[in-house]
Amino acid sequence: MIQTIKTYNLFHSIWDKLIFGFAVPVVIILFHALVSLELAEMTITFTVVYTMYSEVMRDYFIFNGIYSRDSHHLILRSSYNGKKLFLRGIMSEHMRSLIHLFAVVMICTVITSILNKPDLYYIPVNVIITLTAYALYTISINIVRYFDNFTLYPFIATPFIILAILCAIALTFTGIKLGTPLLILFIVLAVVLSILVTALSYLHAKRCYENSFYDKGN
Amino acid sequence: MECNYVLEGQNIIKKYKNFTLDIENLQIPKGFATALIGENGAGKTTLLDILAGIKLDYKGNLKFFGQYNDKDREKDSAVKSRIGYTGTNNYFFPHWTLNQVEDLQELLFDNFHIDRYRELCRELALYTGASFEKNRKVSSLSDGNRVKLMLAGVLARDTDLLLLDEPASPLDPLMRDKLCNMLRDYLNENEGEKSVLFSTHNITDMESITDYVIIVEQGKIVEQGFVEDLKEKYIVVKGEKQDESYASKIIQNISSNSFGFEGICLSDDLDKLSGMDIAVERPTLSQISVHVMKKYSILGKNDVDKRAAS
Repeated sequence: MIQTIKTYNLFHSIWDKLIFGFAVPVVIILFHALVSLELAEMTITFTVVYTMYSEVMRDYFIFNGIYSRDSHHLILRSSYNGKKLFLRGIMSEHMRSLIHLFAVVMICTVITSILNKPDLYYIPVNVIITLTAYALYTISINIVRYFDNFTLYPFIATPFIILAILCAIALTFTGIKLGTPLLILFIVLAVVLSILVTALSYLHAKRCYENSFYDKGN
Repeated sequence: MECNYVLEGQNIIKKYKNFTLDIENLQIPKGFATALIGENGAGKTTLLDILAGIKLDYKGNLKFFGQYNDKDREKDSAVKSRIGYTGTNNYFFPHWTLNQVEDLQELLFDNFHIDRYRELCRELALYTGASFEKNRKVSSLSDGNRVKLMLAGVLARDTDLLLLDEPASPLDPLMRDKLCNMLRDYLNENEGEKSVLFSTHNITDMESITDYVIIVEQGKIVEQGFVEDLKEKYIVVKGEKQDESYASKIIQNISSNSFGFEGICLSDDLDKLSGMDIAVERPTLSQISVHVMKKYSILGKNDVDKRAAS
């Protein structure tokens, strides 16, 4: 656990933690509080969009280009522990982004309940939205990490963010309330999707690291 | 000279589209500093990357420390941790700070000594101790300072073999001298148990530390041996203008001016020049290297053809 925390701190500078870990979520939560006065539970859509975009930007400053063959990690390859550290760094980032998404969404859910009539129905709904957003975000960053071009990050991530928005809109804007069995089913599906995407991300990162030892075409 | 070998390799082959590294027999003597010399594109970096385990797509057999093969190097931390490697490009993450580089090496290498590392960084004038200096990014360092950072990292570890790719190239003359001293101190630790293999273009500056030489051209080893043995094997010959045409049959890559000629030949061929008014000298390592490289390189062949045509 200590090694994981040390590895996480290695990849995340103090500025990253201050800006993307504190300042940006505070702004998003304040914005959510303001908008939820009018839109109530539907505000979660905007919160998820802004959080996903800020996470994509954060990922650029830490991991841009890390999956490409020309990535800068000769020092890792020269070390026996290089692969372990690399995968630990990637997976601790996935865990952090899941916790971050949940924390922001749950805080916003509480704020919405305080400012409007509390509706327990939206707790499992927000869990589904969060897990779906996490899964789609994870898929998008597995693609953008091949590039070190800043413009490509939001360009490639946007379709996945739109899919997350559609999920949130379907669950909050339509006014349709799902029955308990359907809610449970969607939660299970969202959990399974998140676990699957996380596992595939691990395998993908492992493969990218192993491929860096081999020249293209060999 | 009989000696043990810290590293041996047979039939090391790595193919690229327009280039093949093909090393039939590689032997790096233990307890010595070996210089890997060759022109640009000869295969020095490729060979070092293969030996350090940076590239794994090659064929051939390697033996480390007299007993471990390359699979042991990848599977056993005790083997890989005994090898220190520095590269040329793409070694550190460029956006990382010196602080992060320090933490990274502590996490990556079990035999890394943080106090020794900080002392080396101060010794190499990378920082003077002010805390803000460690917030500098690797990308803001000059090429020379980046090499110093790599060297501080490998020398702060307990290793038995250093594989250094062009450590001297970006360094100023003062730092090159310091590098030679540091490598000499490294070799003197543990009474001959440590070895160094480095590639270099600065043969003159690195000659003082070089014990053994391997010259690589077009992916093959074309000459190797202890420096003293090579200086006995080759000889510099200087003669008069009128003898140049005959001498050019014995001495390849002869150079001439209005006063006479100069070139390197094998000491064994010296008797073929008997009867001529010649002066002989012991060659420097640089002269031997250039002579051998000219013999086997495309650049050398082009020069010969140009001279023949004129």
